Amino acid sequence: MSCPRSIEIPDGSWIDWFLGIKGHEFSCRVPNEYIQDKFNLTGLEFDSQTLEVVLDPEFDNEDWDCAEEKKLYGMIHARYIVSPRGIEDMRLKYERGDFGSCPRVFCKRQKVLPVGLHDVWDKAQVKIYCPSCNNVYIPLPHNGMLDGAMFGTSFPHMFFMQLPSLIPSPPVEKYIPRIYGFQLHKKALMPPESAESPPIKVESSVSKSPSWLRNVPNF
Amino acid sequence: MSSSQNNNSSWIDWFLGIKGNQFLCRVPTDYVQDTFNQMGLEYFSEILDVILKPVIDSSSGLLYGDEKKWYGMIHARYIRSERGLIAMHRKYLRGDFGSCPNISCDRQNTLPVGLSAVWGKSTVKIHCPRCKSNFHPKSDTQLDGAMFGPSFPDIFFSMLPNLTSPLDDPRT
Repeated sequence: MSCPRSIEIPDGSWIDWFLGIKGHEFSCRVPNEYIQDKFNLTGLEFDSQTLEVVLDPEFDNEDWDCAEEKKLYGMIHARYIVSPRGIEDMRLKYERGDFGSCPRVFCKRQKVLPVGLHDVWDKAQVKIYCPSCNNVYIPLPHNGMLDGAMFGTSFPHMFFMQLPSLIPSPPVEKYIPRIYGFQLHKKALMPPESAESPPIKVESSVSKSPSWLRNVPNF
Repeated sequence: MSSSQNNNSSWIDWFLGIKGNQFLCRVPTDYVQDTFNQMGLEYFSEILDVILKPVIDSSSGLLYGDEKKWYGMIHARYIRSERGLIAMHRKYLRGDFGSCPNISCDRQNTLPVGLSAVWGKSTVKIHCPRCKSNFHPKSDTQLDGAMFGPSFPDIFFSMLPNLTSPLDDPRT
């Protein structure tokens, strides 16, 4: 994987370059001293050269394959964002709306948080978690390129454990299926009972009313 | 609304070709011309003339401004007709309306739905038959929800029950 070429900015660090890539808006800046603290690197496998590139204050973008650097920074990032300072940084991004809003209509544009489905690298891309409906969604295409392990599975829940005042109330509205204003019978919302029956052709399905429709009581 | 330089095309061709109008279905001209399908819609004959014009020069000042609304309200009726349901079924299977953003729905195909049958209330949303929720579409569509109406997904699955997904509420 070659790194996308960013604008040639002289005297920029690798972290500046990485955070400036389009599509990396979810990422948080991890302070250098956090990266340099060996405690925060415990259990991570990396070459010392990779760490030097990440900490390089004057990164010259030579179309390097930065896969290892991204992975190292990402795994450190996952630890940083659950630290007290990291949660504060992520709170600012959350309140600014950097992570987007819930696509569900009745969540009324509730702000969301990034979440990984795995804590292991290269399993799945980042998803978004809505604290209103407590569901996980696929983010917009231009936001969803980062690896989910950069955020981890624990982040949103750790976030709200630290900042319980930010937990929104659940949505009160629910979608009620209606045809011309009339509510549907519960049976109408179920798939056909006999799964073994041959599939009904579209033409015949449209021309004849399904039998259950005739049994629906008059409203 | 930006106009495209389309020569030798009808107003409907031009309108359907606008970026962001991919949700729309082509309403046959015979359906538009049937006065029964126009019942209750307020319009001027000039608007109908523009919509039915086989060749339109968009640089001319022929557009009166309400063609989009009028076509939209006819569209809302057409997609509930037998022919319209078949056409929307093809678009649904093709994934023209996008997929459910909920990861539990495993990219279930969705259908367009309006929150109101009245024009100018809100833009179109998408409905997932699996989690039975409405979502904001990912695409940059600005189509009015009344072009589809609030009843469309339920009519669609009532007439095509085999397409209903197993009831799988990820919130339970």
